[in-house]
Amino acid sequence: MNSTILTNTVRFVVLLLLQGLILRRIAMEWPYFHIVLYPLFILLLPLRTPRPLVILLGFLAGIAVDLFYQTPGLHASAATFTAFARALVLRYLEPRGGYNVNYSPTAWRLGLGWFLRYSAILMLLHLLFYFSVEAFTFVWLGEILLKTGLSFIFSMLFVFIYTVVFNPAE
Amino acid sequence: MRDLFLLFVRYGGFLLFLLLESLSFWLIVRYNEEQRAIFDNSINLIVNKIDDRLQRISDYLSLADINEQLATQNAALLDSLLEQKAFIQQLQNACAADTLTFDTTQAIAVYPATVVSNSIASPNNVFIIDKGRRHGIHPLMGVITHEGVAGIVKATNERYSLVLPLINRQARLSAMIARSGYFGSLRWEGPAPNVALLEDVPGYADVEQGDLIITSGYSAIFPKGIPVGHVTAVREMPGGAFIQLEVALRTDFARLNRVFVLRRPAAPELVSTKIATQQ
Repeated sequence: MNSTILTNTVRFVVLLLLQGLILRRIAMEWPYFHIVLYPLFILLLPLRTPRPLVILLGFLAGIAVDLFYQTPGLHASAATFTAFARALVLRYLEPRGGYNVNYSPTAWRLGLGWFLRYSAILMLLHLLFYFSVEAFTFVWLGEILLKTGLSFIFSMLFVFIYTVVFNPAE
Repeated sequence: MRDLFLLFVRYGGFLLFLLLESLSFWLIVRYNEEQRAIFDNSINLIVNKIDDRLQRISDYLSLADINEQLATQNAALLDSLLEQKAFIQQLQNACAADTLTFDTTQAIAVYPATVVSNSIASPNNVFIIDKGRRHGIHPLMGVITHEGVAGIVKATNERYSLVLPLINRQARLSAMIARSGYFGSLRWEGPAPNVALLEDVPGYADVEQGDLIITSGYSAIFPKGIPVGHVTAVREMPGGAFIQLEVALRTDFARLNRVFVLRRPAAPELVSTKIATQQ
């Protein structure tokens, strides 16, 4: 239990710094290279985490990223939405035998293919929500979809690299 | 209290989600310039739309009032129009008595017509109007526009009439300097469709640049006083007995559309007098 909390806390800090210090600079240089990796923290929370706690942690992660991006509420809303959608996506992707609630939904436990599908759905939802809120209207739907598509490609590339490099069990 | 707690356990995720999303959006609108502007704008749009609808409804409901107002206004305008007409009639009568001309200025019949074909670039320009014999148009009637003299009817058929405009080499018009009363003969040499020459004006005539040229009333075709153009240059002719005036025509022949055909009741008599004299 304690090790799970420690693992997730370290992951939170690492992802936050990665997002806030490195990926943010890339997006500042090339606006269409908006890469997001921090939702991985929400995705990798243990399966037994109570749903309200997932949503609260998602909100906190978003607020923390917002502090780096100086966009109060923007990432928070998208991360809260992602945390909310996590349970729905998990139910949708539930294996025939069900989940072992003591595990985290990782590639190590559930397979790389499963994990990529899981992260792809949630990252797409996250980015779509994020860019919609950023535009704050659906007038520029074309631009929202373009940004979402480009960011999705690069973000998933980073998610894949992260998964292969660290391949966390929890 | 227990029910409330159970409710939270069951729907807690969703309620928390809504709560935190609301908080996020509040933060966004509160602290982000761009989103805040869009938010304000959207609110404005909605409010304006509602305003617009309400305005339309109230406009519709007040149509009866507006009808009443317009009817009153129409009546007032009609009144003043009739008054003006009576005043003009008085003036015309006074004029006729004054100038001692025969009664040709009075009782001029005016036929409105529309130009259906026109030319301005050839030496023998003509235009055709959509009124003919069946409308009472005959050769040698004058044609004017609201700007001034346009031409003279040359030939007619049942429905159409061919008009010789001032900008035709064959056209001649008796015209005079409005200020001093000296007259001459207006003709056109081309190619510019807005410049004609007033010839046979005596060398001692009082004329300046900018003087208005009007019809003289000596011809059978036009009554006296219809504007023709303005003097733009004065040239002495060889010998010095006569001068030639360059006249900028008032009528824009390049965009003739509505014209009016004039019929003077006394014209046939005058024409026959002239012919008798020439013979």
